[in-house]
Amino acid sequence: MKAFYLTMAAVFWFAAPPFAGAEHFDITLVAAGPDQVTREAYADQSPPAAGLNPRPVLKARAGDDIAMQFILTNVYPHGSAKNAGVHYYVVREKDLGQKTVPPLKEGLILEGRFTFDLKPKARIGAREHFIIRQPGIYLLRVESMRTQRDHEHFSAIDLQIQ
Amino acid sequence: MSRSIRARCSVSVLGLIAASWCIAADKDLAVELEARVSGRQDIVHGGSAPNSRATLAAKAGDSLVVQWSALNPDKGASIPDVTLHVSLDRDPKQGSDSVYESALVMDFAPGSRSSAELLLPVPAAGSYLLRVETIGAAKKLDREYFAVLELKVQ
Repeated sequence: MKAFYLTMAAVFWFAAPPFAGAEHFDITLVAAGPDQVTREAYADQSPPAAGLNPRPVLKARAGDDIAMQFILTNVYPHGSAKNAGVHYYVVREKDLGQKTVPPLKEGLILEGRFTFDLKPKARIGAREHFIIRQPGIYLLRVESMRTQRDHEHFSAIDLQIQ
Repeated sequence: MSRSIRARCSVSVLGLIAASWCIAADKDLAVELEARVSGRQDIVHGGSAPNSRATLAAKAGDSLVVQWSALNPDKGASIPDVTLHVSLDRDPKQGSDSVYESALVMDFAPGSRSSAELLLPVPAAGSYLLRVETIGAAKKLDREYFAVLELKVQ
C-alpha cells in the first residue's frame, strides 16, 4: 500500500500540469484499457454541460479491466472555498459525444463524491479499476462542485464497450 | 448521500454495515469509515486496532458503498496540510493489487470536516483491506490517524 501511496504522491507533487492558462482548475483524467491503450482528457468548463472540447474515446470489450485516474489541481491563487466538492462517475449514455449529461439513475457503474475545504494549489486525485459487463457507450466524467464561482470545471472521456 | 447512491442502497431491505473509527478527545482528528454492501443483513462494528478489525462479506459484482469522514473537533487549533489517503487493496498475502485509491490535501481549520461517499463495484473474489488514513497530521498532533476494515469477497 505504501508503494501505491508513494506513486500517488509522486504524481501529485511532481507531475507538471499539462497546461495552466487562465483556468481555475487543472484536471488530468486518464482511462486505460487492456494492452496499455490509454486516453487522456483535460479541463473543460460547464456550462454548457458537455463543455466545449470533444471527448476522447477509449474502446474496450465487456469484461475488460479498465483503470481510470484523475488529478484535479486548484491553480487559482485566491481560490479558497469551504465545503467544495469533486464528483466523478461512470454512467451509461446513448451516444458517443452526446451533448447532455445522462442522469445517474440508471446504468451507473461507479461514483464518488468528495467534500473538503478547497485551498490554493490544493490537489485531489483518485485511481480505480473497474469492469463493465454490458456493451454500450459510457461516460467517465470528473467535475468540480460548489467552488463559489460562476462556472465549474470538468473532464470527460467516452468509453465504447464492445 | 447522493440520489444515485441512495437509490442503490434502497434496493436492499437491509444493508450490511461495517464501521471502524478512531475518535478521540479534543485536539485529535476524528476519522470514521463505513462500508455497506446491498443484499446483506449482518452488521459488524470494529475498532481501529488490528485485533478488532471489522470484517465485511460481499459477492463479486455487488455494489459497495463507502463513506468516510475526518473532523477537527478542536475549537482553536488548525491542522495544516493533512493528506487523507483512502485505499482498497487486495490482502498482501494474496498479491498487491490496488482496486481503489484516492488522496486529497486540506488544511483542517477548527471544526472543519472532509468526507466522501463512494460507490464501487465489489472486486473479484479475495480478501481486501479498506483503509482511510491521515498523512501529515503528526507534524501538528504527533500521530497519524486511520480506520480500517476487511472486505472478504466470495
